[in-house]
Amino acid sequence: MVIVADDVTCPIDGYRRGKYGMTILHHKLSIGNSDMTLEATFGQVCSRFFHDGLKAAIVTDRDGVMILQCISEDAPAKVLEPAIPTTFAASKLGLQRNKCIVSMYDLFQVVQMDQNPLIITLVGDAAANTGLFMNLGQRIIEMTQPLVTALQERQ
Amino acid sequence: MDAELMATLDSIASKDGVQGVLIADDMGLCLGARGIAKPAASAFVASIANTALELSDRGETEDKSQYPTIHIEYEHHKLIIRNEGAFTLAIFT
Repeated sequence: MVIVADDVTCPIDGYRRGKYGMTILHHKLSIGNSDMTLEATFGQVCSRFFHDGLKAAIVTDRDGVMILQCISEDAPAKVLEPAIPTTFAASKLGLQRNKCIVSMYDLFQVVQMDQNPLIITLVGDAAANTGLFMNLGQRIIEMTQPLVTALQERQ
Repeated sequence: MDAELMATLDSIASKDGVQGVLIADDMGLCLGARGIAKPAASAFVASIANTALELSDRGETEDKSQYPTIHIEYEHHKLIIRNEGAFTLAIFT
């Protein structure tokens, strides 16, 4: 996985321009005996949880740039808007690193997990199984670890 | 209430043949785990119990005898899951 700035000529096909001009090259990630992109794997893993009440699974950086997304057909219209701010400031409570924040609302619940410099956001029904979403978040963390490593090496 | 719950878990875990105990709340979050039971399994235990309840013909009654007990057999141990409302109990034998 390679991340290049907007002003660098990128001759390789298959790039996507992010909201703030970041360009991310898609990397073929081998899973078992088949080659699947990270996006496809992410979609395949997350879509299995739609019947468990998951509405959206989103991976963004700390500026809100969308990196990966898997949205259910019946997800609320505003789920993709960067309106769910989080800074994991709870790490300042003296309880070591804040790994996960669960926010419960009348209709929905939001599970956010910290994978610096990425943020994983899962939106689901309020009555859905929170534990399943937290387990899914852990799987996404493991799945996106190569991407995080690449980002950290670039920095 | 927390101490009583932990004492109950310890009591169950100490019984002969019991390899692990886990109790989960209705949101799939782990309230306590002993032995080979992993806290991360609480979500799946709660999900299995809720799914089994949907499959059963419990109607509108609150009779706890209508709640299903799920037995799962593995190669080296068995798992018994039961939910009677707010909590789901899983015993590994």
